[in-house]
Amino acid sequence: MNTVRTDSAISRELEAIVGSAHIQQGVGEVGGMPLPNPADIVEPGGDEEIAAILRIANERGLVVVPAGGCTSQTLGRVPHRVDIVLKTTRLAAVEHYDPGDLTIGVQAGARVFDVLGLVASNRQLLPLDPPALNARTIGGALATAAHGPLRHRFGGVREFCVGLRYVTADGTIAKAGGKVVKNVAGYDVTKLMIGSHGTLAVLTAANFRLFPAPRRTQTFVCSFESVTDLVGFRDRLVASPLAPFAVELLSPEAARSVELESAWTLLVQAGGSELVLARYRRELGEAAGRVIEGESEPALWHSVREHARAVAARNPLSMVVSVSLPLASVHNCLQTAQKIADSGGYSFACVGCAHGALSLIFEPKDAQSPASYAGVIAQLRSALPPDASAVVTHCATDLKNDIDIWGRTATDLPMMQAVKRALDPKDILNRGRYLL
Amino acid sequence: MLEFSQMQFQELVKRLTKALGRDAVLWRPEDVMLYEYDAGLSQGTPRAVVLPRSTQDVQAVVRLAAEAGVSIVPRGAGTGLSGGSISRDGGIVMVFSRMNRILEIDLPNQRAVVEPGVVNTDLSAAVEEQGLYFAPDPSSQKAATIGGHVAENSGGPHTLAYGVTVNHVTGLEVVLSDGRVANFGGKAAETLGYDLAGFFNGSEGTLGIVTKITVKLTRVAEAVATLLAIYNSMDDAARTVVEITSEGITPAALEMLDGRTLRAVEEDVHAGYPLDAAAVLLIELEGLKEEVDEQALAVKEVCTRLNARNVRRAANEQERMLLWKGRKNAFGAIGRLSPSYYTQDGVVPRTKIPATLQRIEEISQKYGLRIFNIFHAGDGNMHPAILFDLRDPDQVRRTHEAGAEIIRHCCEVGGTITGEHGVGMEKNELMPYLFSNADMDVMLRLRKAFDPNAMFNPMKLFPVPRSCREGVFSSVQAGHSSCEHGPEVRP
Repeated sequence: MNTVRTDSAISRELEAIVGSAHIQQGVGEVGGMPLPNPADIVEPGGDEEIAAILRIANERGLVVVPAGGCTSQTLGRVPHRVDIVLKTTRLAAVEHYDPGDLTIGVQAGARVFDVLGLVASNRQLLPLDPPALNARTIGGALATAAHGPLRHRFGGVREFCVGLRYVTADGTIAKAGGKVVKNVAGYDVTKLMIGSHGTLAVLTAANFRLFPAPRRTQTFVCSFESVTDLVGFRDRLVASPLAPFAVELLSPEAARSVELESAWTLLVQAGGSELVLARYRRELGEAAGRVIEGESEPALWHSVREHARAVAARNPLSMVVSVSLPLASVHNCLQTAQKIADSGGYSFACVGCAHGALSLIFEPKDAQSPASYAGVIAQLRSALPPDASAVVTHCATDLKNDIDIWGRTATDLPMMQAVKRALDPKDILNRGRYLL
Repeated sequence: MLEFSQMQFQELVKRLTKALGRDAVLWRPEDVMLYEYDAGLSQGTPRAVVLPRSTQDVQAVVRLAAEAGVSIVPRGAGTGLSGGSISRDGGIVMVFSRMNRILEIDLPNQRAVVEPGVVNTDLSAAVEEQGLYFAPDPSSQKAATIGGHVAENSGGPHTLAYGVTVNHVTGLEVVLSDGRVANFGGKAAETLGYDLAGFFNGSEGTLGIVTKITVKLTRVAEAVATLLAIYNSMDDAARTVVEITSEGITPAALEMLDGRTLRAVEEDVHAGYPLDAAAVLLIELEGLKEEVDEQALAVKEVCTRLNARNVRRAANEQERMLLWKGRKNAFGAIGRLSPSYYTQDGVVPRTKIPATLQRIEEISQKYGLRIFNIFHAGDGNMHPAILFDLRDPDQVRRTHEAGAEIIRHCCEVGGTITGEHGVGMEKNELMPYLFSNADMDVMLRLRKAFDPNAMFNPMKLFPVPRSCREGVFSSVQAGHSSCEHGPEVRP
C-alpha cells in the first residue's frame, strides 16, 4: 500500500524544472529494482536543474534516488520509500580533453564505454573496466566504486579520479579536487564521494587521470589442479618483477562458462613490446598453457567481467557476494566458501582479482530458505579477517529483508554517520538502501 | 576566542604532566621555542609541547585540551613547507618522535603498520632485504615522518608513476576530538563504507590525530634507467615532457631544472650538469629490464627529435645517485645564493608548462626578483623558488605578491595552488583562487562533523577572517578559534 505517492503538485514543480519531455510520472521500477511506491523519474539537463530538484526534495523531505545507466540499482537494501529517481543521463558531455595533459573531464551521465572509446582513439587508457560498461555511466561507476580486472594494476577508481563536481542534498553545487593529476588543496571530498552509493550527493562531473595505452597486450591462461596450487603460483608472481595489468582468478565452473578449460585458472594480462611479452611467457613458464591475443582477447575479458552478472540474470535465485580482503586471506576465503556451499546445498563459483576483490557466486541446487542464504553469508563473514568486507551484490529481491546485505566494515560507523548528517541531514538521498 | 589565564595554563600543564609524565611535557619558553618553525617561512610559538608514547597518551591529551579549550597541532619532523605543524594560536604542539615504532611488517599482505613518528626511509630500510619499499619520496624523506605524510598527502619525484601518500595508505587509527579512537579502513585495498582513510589523507591535522597507519609496501623495480637530457631551449625541454607519453611511456620520474638552477647546483654538488644549458630533464624509467632498455632508447629518440643537444644515461648506480643528488639538493644549492627563498608549489596541466615558465619569467622581471625553476615536470608540479632577503620588508612584500601572482596563473590555466606542500597557514588565503564559497562550505561542514570545536590545527587550510588574524598576531592567546565556523565563507 502506498501512502507516499509523489503528489501531483510536486510533479508539476519538477516538470517546470526539467520540462515535460524529461519527466515520467508514476513509475514502479527502475533498473530491475521494484519501487515501493510509484515515483517520478526526472532527467535534468544540468547542475542547476539538479540543484533545484534537490532543494525541493530537501525542503519537503522527499526521498531521491540518484541514477545513471541503472546497472546497479538492485544493489543494497530495499528502500521503504522513493519519491524521485534523478537520472543524470542527459549530462553526457566531455567537458575537457587535451590528450597532451593525460586528463579528461566528463559529465556524470556519460557512458563509461564512450569515454573509453574516446581516449583509446588517442592511444590512451582510462583503466575503468567494470561490468556492464556499455550502459554504466561514469557517475554510476564512481558512486558504486565499480571496478574490473584492471584494478589489479591501476587500483580502484579512487586512485585515478582527480576531481568531481557534485550537488549536495540541500542543492549546493560544489567541486572537489581539480583537473590536474597532483593536487593537495583542501579536503579530498572526491574520496568520500567515491563508493558512497549516492548517499552524500548527486555527482555531476568527474576528472580523471589517463595512462598511455600499451602497444600490444596478451593474456596468459594458467590452469591449476587446485586452488592451493593457484594461490602458490600467484604468490610467486607477486614476488616476481612482473607487473601485469590484470591477474584474474576463475574457479573451474567460471572458467568453463567463459569457454576455457574447467580448472582453477589465473588469467594474466600483460602489455608492452614483443620483448616484454616474451619475458612474461618465459617467467610464467609451463603454467601458461595458452596465450590469447588479437580479437579473441577483449572478447574473453568481456565474458570474464560479465560472468557474475550473467549468472545472476540466468538464475535469479543465485546469491553473489562481493568480497574485498587482504591478499593473504584469499586462499582461506575460497576454501571456506567452497565448504559452506558444499554443506549448504549450493554450487559455488568465483571470479575476480586474485589479490583480493572477488565475486563469490552461490547457486542453490534446490530451493533454499531465506535462513539458509542468511547462514551462508553469516558463516562466510565470520571466516574472514575483521578488515575484510562481504557485500551481497545480487540476490532475489524478496530475500533482502531476511539477510544482512552489507555486513560489517572496518571503518568507524559513528564517524560515517556524522559525515552523512553533515551533507544530507534529512537523509533524502538513497534513504534506507546503504550500510548506514 | 577564549581568554586563557596563566593560572589556567599552569593547571593544564600540571594535568598533562600527571597523565604523560614529567619528561613528556615541555612548557618553558626556551624549550617550546624549538617548535616555532617548520621548513617553510611561518612561525608561531606554542604554549606547551607534549610527546606522547601511545594512543592512550594521545587520547589523554586530547581530552584534557578539549576540557581546557586549547588547540592541538600534531607535528612529525617539522619538515613541512606550509606551516602545517606550527601552532597559530599558542596551543599545544603534539610531537610524535616517541611514537616511532614499526608495529608490524606483514609481508604476505605487503603491508606495514606504523606509528606516525616513523621516518620514511626507516620503513623502507626495514623491508629492503625483502625487495620492498615505501613509495612516497619527498625530498625530506630522510627526516620526514609517515604521520606527516598522511597529514600533507606528501608526494615526491616518483609520484608520477607511483602516486602520492593516499595511494599507499589503506588504514588509519585516529583519535577524534572527543578522545575516542576510530579506525578507518584496514589492510584490504578498499574497505566498505565511506573512504574516511582516503578523505583523512591531506587533511593537514585538522580532523583528528593519526596514531597508527597501515601502508602498502611496493616491490623494488628490477631495472632502472636515469637519463639526463640537455637543452638549449626551455621550450624544447617542456615539449619533450608531453611527447614522451605519446610514446606510450610513463616515466617513474620526470624532473626539470632551468639554467639558473643548473649552475647553482653544479657549483654546489658537482653532479655533472652543464653550465651553459637552458634546461635539463632528468628522466627515470623503472620496470622490467627489457622494458626499461627499450623505453630508454625511445626516450632518447624523443629528446633528440626535440633538439636536445645531448642525452646521456647514467652508466652505473654511482652516476645515477650523482644525478639525483643534484636534483634532491637543488634547494640547498639555491639557499647558498640568497639569505632566503620562497618555494611555490602550484600545478598546471602539462601542456601549459611552457606558457607557465614564460609567465614566471615575466613575474620575475616585474617584481625584480630572481626566480629559479626546478620541478616535477611530468605532473606539472611547478616549484619556482623566489630569492629574497627576509630582512628587507619591501622584498618580502614583493616576494609574497610575486608568489601569489604565480599561483593565480596556475589556477587560471586549470591547475591548483599546491601539488604536495599543503595549504597550511601559507596558502590558506589563496584557497578562493581555486574553490568557491560553496566548495569550502562543504569542506567546513565536514570539518565540523569531525571536530566541532575546531580544536585541531585551527586557522589553517581555510581563509581566516581579518578579525581573527589580528587577534592571533597581536597576542598569543589560547583557546579555539571560533573563526573556523563560517564567517570567512559566505553562504
